[in-house]
Amino acid sequence: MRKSRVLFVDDEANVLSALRRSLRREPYECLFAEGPDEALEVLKEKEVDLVVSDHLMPSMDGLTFLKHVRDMYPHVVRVILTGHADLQMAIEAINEGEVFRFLTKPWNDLELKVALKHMLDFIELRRENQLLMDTVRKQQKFIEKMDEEHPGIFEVERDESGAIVLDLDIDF
Amino acid sequence: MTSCLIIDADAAARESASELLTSRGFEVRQAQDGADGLESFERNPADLVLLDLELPDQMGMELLSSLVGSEQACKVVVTSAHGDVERSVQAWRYGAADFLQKPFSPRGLLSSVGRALTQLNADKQMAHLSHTLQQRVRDLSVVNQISQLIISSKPIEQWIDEVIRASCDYIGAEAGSLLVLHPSDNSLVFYVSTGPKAKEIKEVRLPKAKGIAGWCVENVQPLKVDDVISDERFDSAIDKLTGFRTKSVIAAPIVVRDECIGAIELLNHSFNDSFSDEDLHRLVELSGHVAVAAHNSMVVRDLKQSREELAKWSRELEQTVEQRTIALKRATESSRLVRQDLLRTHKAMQKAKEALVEQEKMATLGLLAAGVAHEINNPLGFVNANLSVLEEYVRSMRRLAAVLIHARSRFRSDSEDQALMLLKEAERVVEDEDLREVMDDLGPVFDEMRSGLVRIMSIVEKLRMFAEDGRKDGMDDDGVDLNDEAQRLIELVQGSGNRALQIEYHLSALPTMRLPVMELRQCLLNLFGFFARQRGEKSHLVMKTDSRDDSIVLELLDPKAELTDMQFASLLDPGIDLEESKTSGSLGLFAAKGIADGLGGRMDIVRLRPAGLSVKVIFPKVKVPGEATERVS
Repeated sequence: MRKSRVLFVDDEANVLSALRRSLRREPYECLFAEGPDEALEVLKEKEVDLVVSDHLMPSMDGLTFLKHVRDMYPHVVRVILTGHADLQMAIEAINEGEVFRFLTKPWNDLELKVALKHMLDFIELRRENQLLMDTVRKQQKFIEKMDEEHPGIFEVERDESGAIVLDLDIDF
Repeated sequence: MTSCLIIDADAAARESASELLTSRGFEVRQAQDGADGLESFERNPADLVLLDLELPDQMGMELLSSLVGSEQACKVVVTSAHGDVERSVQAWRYGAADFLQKPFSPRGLLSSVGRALTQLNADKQMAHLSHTLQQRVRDLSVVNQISQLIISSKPIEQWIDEVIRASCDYIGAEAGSLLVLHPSDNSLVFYVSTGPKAKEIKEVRLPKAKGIAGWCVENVQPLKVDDVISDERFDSAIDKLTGFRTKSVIAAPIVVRDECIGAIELLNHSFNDSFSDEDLHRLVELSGHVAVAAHNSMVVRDLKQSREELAKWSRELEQTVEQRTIALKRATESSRLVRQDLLRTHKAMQKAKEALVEQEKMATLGLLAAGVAHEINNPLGFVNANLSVLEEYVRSMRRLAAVLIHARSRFRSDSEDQALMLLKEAERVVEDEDLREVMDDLGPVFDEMRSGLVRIMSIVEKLRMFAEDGRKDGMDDDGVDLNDEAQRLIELVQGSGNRALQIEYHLSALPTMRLPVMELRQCLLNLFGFFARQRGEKSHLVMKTDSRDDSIVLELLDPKAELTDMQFASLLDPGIDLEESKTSGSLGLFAAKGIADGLGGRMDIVRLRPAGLSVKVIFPKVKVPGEATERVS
């Protein structure tokens, strides 16, 4: 299984390099883009699990960028990391389903790592959940097929006491 | 021809006189005594009698007396052979026109006769004049009567009866009527009538052009018809209706205010077969008087009506005034209450407005703070993160250092094998902790952190500038450069370079201004705040400054602003619902204007076509101290 991938988007190179240093030993792959346009290029080429974007950027603001990401890659989890602490914007962003988390600058390294780990765990769980759901679906289909070929094969008959009645035509 | 009767017993004398007078054109008769003469006179009166006093039947004086006293106007010339004075005086007394003594000459006779005839003519003229005078007196009396009625200003219906009756008597008619033109259908109505059939024709209607009266009204002319049977204008229908027999008619129109309102008609002269022209003339005069009287009556009626209406209106007016007065009193009372309410509301509004402006100032400061926070948070973010990394770096290096120190101690104690093992351990630590990369990264880490700190310090420096109170440290005396102030504020508002407002500067060199700097900054801050909020964070603005003769102008132009009429109209309305009008931040403009006004300046807001919004703040070059600072809170 491949490593999880996190894409960071910020127009400030120093922020990206600080993030790169902080997360260099984390068990996931970090990708960096100095703006929404570059980030969309990266998304085209690589499968990404999590996008962490700044909000105030010159060509396009973070919410708009993440809206595009949601439309194009619905499974990607989106996070805002901004120094512009506008509570109203945060509420709207989360309520409208644009972003999963709203993180603020300056960030605490440990908290950032924990948050990212939680989100990646969530993604992993979601992925596992998806796999299990697929398995269940496959099994359900198998059962339906068997029931079609052998009607009543999964049905169980019980008496008043709840004991299973075996309708076996066998001589002892 | 003048007739003459000669009464004389002397046949020769009679003959000679008769011959003479006949030759002079007289119609002469003769009588030989008194009885014969009187009988002849009574049978056929004569204008002139030649009477001889010496008659056989001794009747001379008596006869004279009878002749003079008779109704017939005649003149008597007395003759006598006895010419004594006594007889002649007696004859005069008895009324003789002249006394002639026998024998008389033809000349004497003619002279006497001439005097007598002159007297006769004078008498006749006198009688005629007397008659005319009496007639005039009667006319005047009737006119006077009518005049009295006219002056009396009684309603026409009260006197017209009397006038028509008087007219009948005066002119001498059997019957008379006043016919009035009915306005609705132009028919003629018998309004007032006198005579034997007056009751029967009361209120009877005639088509306008029918009958003698109809013609009279139609043509507005008087008319006299002597024999109605032979006149085609006569309408016999009324006669048939009443049984009256009309023979002759006179009629005259009644004209009031240039309009014919009817006619007076008189029927059948009381004594003669027909009416005379004079009768018609009198009737025309009468109709004129009646018209004047009717006119007066109408005027009086109108006046009365007007007076009644006026009185009614006056009463109504009084009532209305009374009601209005009451209503006014109530209104005054309620308006007093309303005014109190209004005053309270006004005070509350004033407070609310002040609070709003204050809030806007804070909001603008909030905007500024948010921008500043963003600018500080970015470098803080990476400085902080780098610090954590540096801690890790240091920890790794301490680990390496510990191994190396340990190795060195082993070298001293000649346990070289152990020392070599420790050096290998050190190499492993270098690998393990990526210490080669860490060493390479140390320079950049410090550089980045330093640049971040420099940025933070510069922002703090700008903030400190903004926090300074110019009045305390004497900035007012040094004056203010509007260009500097505006640029520094914009740097604060827009943060780093390209993030917030993009400003294109067109600045002119400006003289320093002597204005309270904090208020100026607040004004500019509100203005920039307005534009930043108006257009979001990607506004592209043009800022111009200009120095004029007596003022300094700062213009901010948003070339892409598109405002509807309503939005433009409500730009300076602090009470407008900002969410709905989509002109968020109008309050900033309002607050900026308030401050600019307070500084003695003004603000011009112009909408450009097809798009664009220009706001000019015009400051006076000369500071207006005192009042300006007082008015801005």
